Amino acid sequence: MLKKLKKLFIYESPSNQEREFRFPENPGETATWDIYRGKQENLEKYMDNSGSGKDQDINNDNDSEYEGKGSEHNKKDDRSNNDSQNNRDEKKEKSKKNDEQSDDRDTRDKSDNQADESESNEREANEREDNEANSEKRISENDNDHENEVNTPRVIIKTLRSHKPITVEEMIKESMRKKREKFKNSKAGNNGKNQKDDRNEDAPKLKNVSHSLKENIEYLENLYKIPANKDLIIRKFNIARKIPACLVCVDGMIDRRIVIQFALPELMDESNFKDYDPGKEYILDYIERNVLTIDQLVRMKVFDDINPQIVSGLTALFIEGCDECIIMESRGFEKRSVTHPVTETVISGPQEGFTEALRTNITLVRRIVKSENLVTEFEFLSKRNNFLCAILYMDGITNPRLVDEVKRRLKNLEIDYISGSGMLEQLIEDKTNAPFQQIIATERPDRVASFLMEGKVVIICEGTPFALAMPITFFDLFQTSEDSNLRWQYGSFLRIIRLLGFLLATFLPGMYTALILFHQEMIPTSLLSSIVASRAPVPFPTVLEILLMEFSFELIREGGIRVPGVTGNTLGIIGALILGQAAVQAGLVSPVLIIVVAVSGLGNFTVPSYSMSLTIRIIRIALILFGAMGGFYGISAAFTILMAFTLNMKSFGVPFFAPIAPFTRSNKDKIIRGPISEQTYRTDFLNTLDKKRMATEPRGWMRGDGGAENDQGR
Amino acid sequence: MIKDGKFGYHEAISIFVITIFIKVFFTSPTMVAKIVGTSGWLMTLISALSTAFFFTFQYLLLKRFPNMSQMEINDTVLGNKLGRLLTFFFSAYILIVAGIDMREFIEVMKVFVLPDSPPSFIMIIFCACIVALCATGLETIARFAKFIVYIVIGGYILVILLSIPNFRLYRLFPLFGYGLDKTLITGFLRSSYYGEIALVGAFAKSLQGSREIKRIGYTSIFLTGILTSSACLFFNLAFSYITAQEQVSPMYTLATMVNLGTFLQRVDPIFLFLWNFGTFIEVSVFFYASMVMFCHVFEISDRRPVLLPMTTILFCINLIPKGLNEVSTELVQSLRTWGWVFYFLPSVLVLIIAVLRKKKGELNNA
Repeated sequence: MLKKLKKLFIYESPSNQEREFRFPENPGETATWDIYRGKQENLEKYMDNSGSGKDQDINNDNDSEYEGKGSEHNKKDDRSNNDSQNNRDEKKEKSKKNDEQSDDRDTRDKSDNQADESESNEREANEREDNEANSEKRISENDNDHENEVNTPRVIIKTLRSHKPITVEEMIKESMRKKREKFKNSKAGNNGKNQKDDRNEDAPKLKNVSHSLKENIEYLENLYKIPANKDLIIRKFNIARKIPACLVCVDGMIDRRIVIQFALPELMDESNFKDYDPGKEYILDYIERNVLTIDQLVRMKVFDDINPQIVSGLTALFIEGCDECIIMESRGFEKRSVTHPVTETVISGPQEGFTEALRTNITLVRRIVKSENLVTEFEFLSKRNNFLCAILYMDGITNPRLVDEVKRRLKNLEIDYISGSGMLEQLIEDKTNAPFQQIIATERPDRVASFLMEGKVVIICEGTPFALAMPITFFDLFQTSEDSNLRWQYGSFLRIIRLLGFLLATFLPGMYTALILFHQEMIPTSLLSSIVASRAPVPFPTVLEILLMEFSFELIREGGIRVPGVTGNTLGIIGALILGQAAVQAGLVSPVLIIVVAVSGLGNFTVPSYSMSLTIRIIRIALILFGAMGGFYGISAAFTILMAFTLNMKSFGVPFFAPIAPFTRSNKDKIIRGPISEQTYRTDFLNTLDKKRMATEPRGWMRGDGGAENDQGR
Repeated sequence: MIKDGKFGYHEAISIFVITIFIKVFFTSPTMVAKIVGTSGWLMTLISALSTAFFFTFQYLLLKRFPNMSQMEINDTVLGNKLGRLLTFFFSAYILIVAGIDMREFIEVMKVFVLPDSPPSFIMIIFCACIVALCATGLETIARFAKFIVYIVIGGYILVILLSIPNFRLYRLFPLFGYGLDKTLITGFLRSSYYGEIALVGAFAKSLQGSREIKRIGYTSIFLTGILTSSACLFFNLAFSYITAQEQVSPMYTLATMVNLGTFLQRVDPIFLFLWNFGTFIEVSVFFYASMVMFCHVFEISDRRPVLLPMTTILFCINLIPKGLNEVSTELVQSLRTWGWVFYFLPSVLVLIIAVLRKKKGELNNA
């Protein structure tokens, strides 16, 4: 009695073990702790609730383990141990009053107190043992202290299952024994294993959303490595001040206004749930229909589906008792605004380019293709970074087999990280060793729209301002969106210029080498004499001279790209001028060669595709070497080998040189772009569902009444 | 795995037009001038007609056994052993033809373009091209042929047009050369010039049925007949028949004679490209057909391992002739005169045996 009074008025510093004590937070835990304290009623209830199934027990075991491990809650509890101690004393005081009313209860409380005392004694004894152990052991033990707290109820549950009575002292002894055994085992066998790995091994393998909110939170905390990971926000609250719930989102990826203005206040406001009848309506249905004022809500059950959404900037709402969650659209990360396309500038045509935001890019396309047939499918690709991409195609035009093939390739990617469209392109193209690209990348929405209407499939990736279109042919690489915006004569002229640029860029240096070394007889005499005169002071052989110049040109180009801002362009121009002039004056290269390299460089710039221009640069070097080895014969051989590999290429089943080799029906839209009114059919090799693009004479005003015979226009 | 693949009418015609017509760029017109004088253009038309006649037998055979290649037909009609023996001999023959044609090209290259380079150096580059083309399959060769045929024919027409100032009409006479009878007989015997059309049997499975084979065969013979005849005619117009007999490559000489103004002189290096591409395709087609037959005989499903050893054999065949004289006057002449025995006679015999033994393809039996 005196001791109890003393406890009431004199503060005792709690022991380490007592500091770890905390009050249960939820009903399930209360039952567990009641069992711990030996309350038979709750114990029986617990057994009834837990059911006879073994799985339930296992789950509870796991829960309790989680409770004890790595959770920040425990640390918080440690900090508030003094309060807990006081609360406990108050409770004991209350129970003391109750004891006076009931003898039985009094007896139990006494036994409780005895148990507490014996428990503290035992723990003190253990502490002494721990002090005797070395420091390393102590650290490890402290790390595992939480397990002790949890193992105890587990032992009880297991013991109860066998209906064998056991005292609290026995329980504690048993738990301490197990703790020591575990420590020994861990020291003997798992020296290299850190605690993090243990935690991952013990992590609950939740596949679907659990009814228990606590379980879901624990799963997420463990999955996202909380508290180490500071990005994930788990906001716990009560819906209408009653139902426990939480919002889960990633900091920085969300638009906070959506959560602050349209989610949290609405959910917490009691008045929003006045009409809610739990017996009649499912809470998620009610919230979806009556509470949340957010435009896009999706329900999901599987964590594998939910997690990519959360990391993509959506917010998940988990509610106690619900085995599914609501995913709310709340993306609001920083993004670049729509600007001019950098790599595909045109004079005539739209001046919008894609950005890094997937949604923005799709919107840019939808603004051009305002059709219900434009289908956008989303796919998460890589395993680690959940790379999101959208597959766009026109239903009713695009061949479904092509769409399936694209999806098949995307779904069967087994890679942990994809950085952008460039990497994805390499992963899904037919032949990785082929000299030419098999997928075209564009940053122009209008070009994507024309690809879609042609019957191609387009992939737009998150975080990349380039869309990938497939399948493509060689001739697509010379086309720009400007071609169709200009009259056919101008468009065709530009394409021919581009093709000539391509031929010059590829063959001119090699041909020059071959001419100088092997076929001087082909050069007209007057030109030959001027070449000979200019080459006379040059000490290098022709092939070395041209390779030197090519290398210098490549250096200038690459340097110009890397130097920031306007300086880069200036460096390119000035560098080329000064270097060329200086090289000629120093007698290192001939002036004719400067012209050859400059023309081939300019020709390279006329090619619209950046990948294609890189291909040309590589082929050019090979042709110079072959030209130096065997003249035109060497170039022919190199071209044949190149063509053998190129003609063998296919882009998603379409031969690369279609519609010429193999020959298929096509519009006048290869090198010569015919009048738009004559491009009646879609390309044959794409096997589109709707082959006809327009009427035989699309200009209806030319036909029949009021048509060509109409003199209104005169 | 090297796959034959499928190709269409245009690609098939391109293959055969290039394979047959490219020979006109080498020593063949010279030999024709030696044998029949000024009537080479007529003689080659007779050769084309003879080839069309022989091809009819092969077409009938392929029609009788639809969806079967020549090798499979040989096996069916003659039995496994005899059929495969015949296929093996034909395979060896066309590999030798490929080697001789390649050596002819190399010798002409040495004379005109690469006099300092050893033949083996030119051969190695050539073999690399063959390996690249054959490794990617028949479909790729067909596409390359389709791509190149326009350039070859365009280049040929360009050379002819630029050579018009050198043409003299009187050089065509006497019209029947050394006599009509000699022209007719030589024309019939030299049907081997168009003998490459017989390879249609080896590639039958890659083509779209017997009707397509018929179209491809006759159209190819017709087109190459016209082109070769025109080439002989223009050579006769450009060179007197005595001069023509001394040319190593009349077409190349014709290109060197171009002289329009001070700038457009000597376009022979441009002509060189046509020559190179055409020959690469021709030899590759022969080589590929030989490889297909060889693999059929020995039931080798994956042809890729066979590719390099057969290229080595081809390289060795190339090394056998001593020089241009032996190649042009003996080997090529023999091939052109007696090649029909290997190209067409087996098909005729197999057809006769098939009729006698009442052997037919599956579709015909149904």
